[in-house]
Amino acid sequence: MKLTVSDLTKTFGRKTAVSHVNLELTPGVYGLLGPNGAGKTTLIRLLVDLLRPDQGAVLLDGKNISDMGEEYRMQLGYLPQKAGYYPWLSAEKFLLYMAALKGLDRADAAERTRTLLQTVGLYEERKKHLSAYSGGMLQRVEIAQALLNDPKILILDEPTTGLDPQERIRFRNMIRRFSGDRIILLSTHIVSDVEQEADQVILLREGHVVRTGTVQEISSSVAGKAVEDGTSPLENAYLRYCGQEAS
Amino acid sequence: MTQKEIISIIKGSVQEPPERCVDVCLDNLPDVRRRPYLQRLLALELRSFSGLFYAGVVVFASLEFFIWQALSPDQALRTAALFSAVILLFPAGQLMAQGEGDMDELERTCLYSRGQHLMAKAMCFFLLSIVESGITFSMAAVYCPQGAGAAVSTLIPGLCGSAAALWEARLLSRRKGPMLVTFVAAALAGSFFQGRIAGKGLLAEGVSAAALFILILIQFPTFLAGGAYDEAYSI
Repeated sequence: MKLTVSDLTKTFGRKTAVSHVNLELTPGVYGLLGPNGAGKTTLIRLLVDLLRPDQGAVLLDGKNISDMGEEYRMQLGYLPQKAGYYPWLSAEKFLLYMAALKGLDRADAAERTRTLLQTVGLYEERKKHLSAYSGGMLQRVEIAQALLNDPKILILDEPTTGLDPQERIRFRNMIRRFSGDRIILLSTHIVSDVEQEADQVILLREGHVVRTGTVQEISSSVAGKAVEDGTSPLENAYLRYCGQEAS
Repeated sequence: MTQKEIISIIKGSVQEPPERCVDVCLDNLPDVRRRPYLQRLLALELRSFSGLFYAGVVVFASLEFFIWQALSPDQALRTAALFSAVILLFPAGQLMAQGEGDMDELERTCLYSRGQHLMAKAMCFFLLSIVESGITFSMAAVYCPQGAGAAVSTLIPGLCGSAAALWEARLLSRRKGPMLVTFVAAALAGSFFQGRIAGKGLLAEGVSAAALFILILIQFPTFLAGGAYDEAYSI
């Protein structure tokens, strides 16, 4: 399985959010790093076919995802940066609803919902309305919905937002278990999340991919240059490539 | 497909080279995934409404029985018109004003296409309107001297609200708050004119309602063509 991003460009008015991006994603965990406004969310929306590119295409095994439609969406798990939910539904009903939307039959939906609620540690509170959930709990429900259809391509936009350290560890373990023959793309500006999870890192700045490579490759590419106090090698590389100044 | 046929497919695929046998097996097995049916999506959309919404519909429907008995036909028509506008207002936000941070973004990445979702949402909207109008028209048939036709004017505030909210969303903000405020303001304005139009007979009522309905239909495709986060998206 190969997801190819070919010369992808998206403009909003005068602002070019994503500019001539070329990537090749094969099974593995990818960390998409970039400062706010770098174009991460726009790139992700292009990858999940929510946006149509002005130029270029996203291809799955050579087929344009826009032409694949349902065939592509069936293989996709997606967590938006600001994920929606129906506050009057319980976590269990919300996941069953999402499972039905993803085309799972009732038995499968019930089984997957139960397993995922246990995985994200919300099984005991599955009957509570989502309106009563904290931000971290909602984020865990949203992560669970992304995994419902056992997707081959999992795209998560800021997945660890609102998670406490323990939940973050749980999330990392979950991603580690879930990876394998899947393409997982984590978009974040929290470098440590990527440092520990990603096989490959994609650095994005002002809509351009400024660097790709493994954590080691990217970290070593700035070796020998002045290191900011208290930053890890990847953070140092991020600050250099993405033009961020250490606070 | 029988068990025998499945076994023969698996046996057949084992004959293939190891790197191809899984692909061959998967290609030959039938696709048992659920196909996207609009009817099923419609049921899912209706399931996603809050229980409070359905309770509200039942309460308003029950109240209609009382208002037609307690008020004069003119007053009852005006009150029923406002009820129908309020009932439309409840799902309007969920069905129409979708953008970043709403369920629409998640729903669109599932099995059903954006076009199918929008079709189901529009059908939900009309289904609810028809149920609500059905009650009003039945009551008017019993209690109004002019018969069920008198109830045509009760559609005007709801139609005014919908047309104005769509206009606002299309040209201005496309945000839920301003859309709903516009809906309420236009529905109230519509209820003011409803009395005058009702007095001019069934033809005037019908023409007004039809004109508003056409106004909605004209604006609908443009509105549906985009979301708050993607002005360039086409169905």
